Amino acid sequence: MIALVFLPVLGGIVCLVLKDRKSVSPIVAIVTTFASGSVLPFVIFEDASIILGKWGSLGIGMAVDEFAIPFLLSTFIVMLAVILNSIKRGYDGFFYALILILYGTLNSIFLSRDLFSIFVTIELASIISFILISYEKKPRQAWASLKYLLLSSLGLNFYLLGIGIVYMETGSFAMDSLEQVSTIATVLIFGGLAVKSGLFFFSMWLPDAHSNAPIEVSPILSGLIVKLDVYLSIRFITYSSFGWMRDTYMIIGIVSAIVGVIFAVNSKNAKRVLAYHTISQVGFMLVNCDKSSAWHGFSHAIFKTLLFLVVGNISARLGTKEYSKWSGKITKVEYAFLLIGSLAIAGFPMTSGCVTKEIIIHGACCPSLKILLLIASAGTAMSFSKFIFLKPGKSSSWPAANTVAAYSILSGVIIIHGIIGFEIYMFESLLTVIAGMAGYLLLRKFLRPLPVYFERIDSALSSYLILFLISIVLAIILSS
Amino acid sequence: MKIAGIIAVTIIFVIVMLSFDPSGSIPRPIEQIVERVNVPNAVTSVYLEARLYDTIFEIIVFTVTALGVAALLASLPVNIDEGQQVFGTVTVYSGGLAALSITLFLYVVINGHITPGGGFVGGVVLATGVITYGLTSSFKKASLHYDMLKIGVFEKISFVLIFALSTLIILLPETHSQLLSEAGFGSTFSGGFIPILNILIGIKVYAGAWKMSSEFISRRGTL
Amino acid sequence: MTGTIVIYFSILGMLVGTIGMILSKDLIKKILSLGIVETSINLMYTGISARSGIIPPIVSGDFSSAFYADPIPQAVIITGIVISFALLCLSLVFAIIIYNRYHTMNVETIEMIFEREKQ
Repeated sequence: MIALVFLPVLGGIVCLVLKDRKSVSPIVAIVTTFASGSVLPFVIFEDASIILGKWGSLGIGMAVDEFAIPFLLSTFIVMLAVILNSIKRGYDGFFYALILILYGTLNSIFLSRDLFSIFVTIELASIISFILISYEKKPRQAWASLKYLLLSSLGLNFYLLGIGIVYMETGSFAMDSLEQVSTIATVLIFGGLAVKSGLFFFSMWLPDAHSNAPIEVSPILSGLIVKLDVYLSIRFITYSSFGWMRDTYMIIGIVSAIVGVIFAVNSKNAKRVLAYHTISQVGFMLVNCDKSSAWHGFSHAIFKTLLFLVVGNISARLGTKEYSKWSGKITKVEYAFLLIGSLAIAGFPMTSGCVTKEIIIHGACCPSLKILLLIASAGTAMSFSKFIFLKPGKSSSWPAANTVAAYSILSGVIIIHGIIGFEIYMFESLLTVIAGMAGYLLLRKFLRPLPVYFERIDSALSSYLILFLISIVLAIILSS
Repeated sequence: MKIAGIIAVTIIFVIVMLSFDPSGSIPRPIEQIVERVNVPNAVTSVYLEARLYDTIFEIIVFTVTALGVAALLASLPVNIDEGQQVFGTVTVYSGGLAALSITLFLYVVINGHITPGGGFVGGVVLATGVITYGLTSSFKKASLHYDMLKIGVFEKISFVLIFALSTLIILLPETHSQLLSEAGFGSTFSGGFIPILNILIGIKVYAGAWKMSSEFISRRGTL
Repeated sequence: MTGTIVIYFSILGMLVGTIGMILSKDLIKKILSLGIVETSINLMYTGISARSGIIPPIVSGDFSSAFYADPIPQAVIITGIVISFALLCLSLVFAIIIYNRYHTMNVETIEMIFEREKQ
């Protein structure tokens, strides 16, 4: 199990030491990724839990169970696709070193059972993503990264305050000591981690950061780092002192799902549309936190990576991010992959997005929640009809070989997952898709971009703190 | 919007202050730690034995930040060619301070498991001494020592060695506990691999702090 | 007793730092307020360690009678201090990149420039 964490870090160190030779690093990166991917079946099929050094409650514990498996699989596939896409682009060795160290760190978070170790590894993942967002040294990227830095550090300081109170009351940092802890510590832990999730009022740094990042970095941010809070919430809800979080997440999740779609429908920049959809899909995942959220996290990572890579490659070739200028200029191959990705996120049958979304909607607890989720799902289809109704150009030249390899791995996983998990009641998702497309054709003239007042830094800070207060009040009411 | 945020923050912290009671059972783990690791300094034995996994990630944080700062500032122009304003008495004192900090660094780092100190403290002490010398006396002389003593190569070697040693200690805990219980209590040679790790961490922290500060100073220029 | 007073003061420090982050219009002052918040967290962990006693945990000889401080929060906060130092350096690098291009440190001016540039 420790090999899953240390093998990528070792590959990263090799890339760091050989920083000046540009052609060696991608080969080292691919070899290391495949090596740690081959360790993965051994880890999944034997349920083990160890404490490093046998120190008991003073040491650090690691374990695998059923909630961590989808996230570990998605990390491997996303990293493989991103490294394959970036081969001929001429990045130096430092970029591959950062990506490999990030891979090892993410594996460590999904396997860990110690609260302070989670803090250190989340901070390491955040620092690597700050450096990666502004890798091309443009001022726009530096401002987006600085906003993300200030908000994320403030939130993680609240998390440390909560962990301090846990230590004061129980005397150890292990995760099992969360059973007998007072409500105020659990609220601080929840509020501290909610900054890094993609919920609507909590994290308004997200649209700027995810849409201004370079081509290969956006899928890593939107597919993996946003899922850290989802994984930790699913794990913490199994303890009894966190029982108030179910109702809170139901309210916050459904608001986030609907408002994210409203912003996405009205936006004109292709990458911002995808970033607003991340906000909406995280709301879907957190509405009922159990095993179905973990599998929706896996399929969301895969189809978001495919969409970001295709949109990024198209906008790098044509020079503009506004999708209304793309009609007639994209090749047939790119249009085909864009179609697969859009159908997956809209929930068309035979794709993995349909399977996981229908399990969530089917398992919702009350009928009003189901209706609201169906409305959000129809909105998703409406917003992605923009990409489905683009006209492809006449040329059918194939892109470079490594790009096609990355796209086909991702599409293969989407379709295989969709066929394996299919059940008969999932045909009702066809209705939502058709309703969404009809809605788009009717309302096409009325859409204009909404104001970005909430994404300024003072407004982002204030809205985070106001919602933190509301969740404290809800927690105190719900747990007394 | 800002005023609502400020009121919200005040109410949050008032609720936090009112709802925790700082009385509870107070743990005493120090006997268990010292008995198992056989080293007088309990804090060093916690962060280099029981929680070694966190220390590895912290060293990676430090390395990645130093390299990231150097890579992000690489395209901005450098200007240290102008003259540097120097006062006579300050030059004398800062040279002595740099020499004193080298001695203090060696003492704190080698005796990190007997007296308070350790790798991190020692690295910061040495970096403070050398940067003060560079800012007040002569930045060119201070930045020449980085290339002459080949500190860049030492930094990479020490990073690789820290990672290798720590992985060995985590994967084979019985060998290390045998090494720890053999030597006497409180002598300089006790403690297994702990003094070696302290020395390597000290070199790494000093090199990283010097690189970050010298990048900032050489872009802005001294006064 | 010492530990409890220190913990209450550290929470007051966090409040001051967060209000400073919201109210300041200058980019460097926001970064310094973040530093105040992180220093207060370090103070709180030292206060937690001081609840078991205030003698430094360097044992010599018989140690079952004296009240030593708790070594675990102290070792844990060493990691926290290094991480906050790294974040401070990285945020200053971003401030330098923005200043070199636009020659202003006022947050509202920078945001107005970015919003006008896009559409």
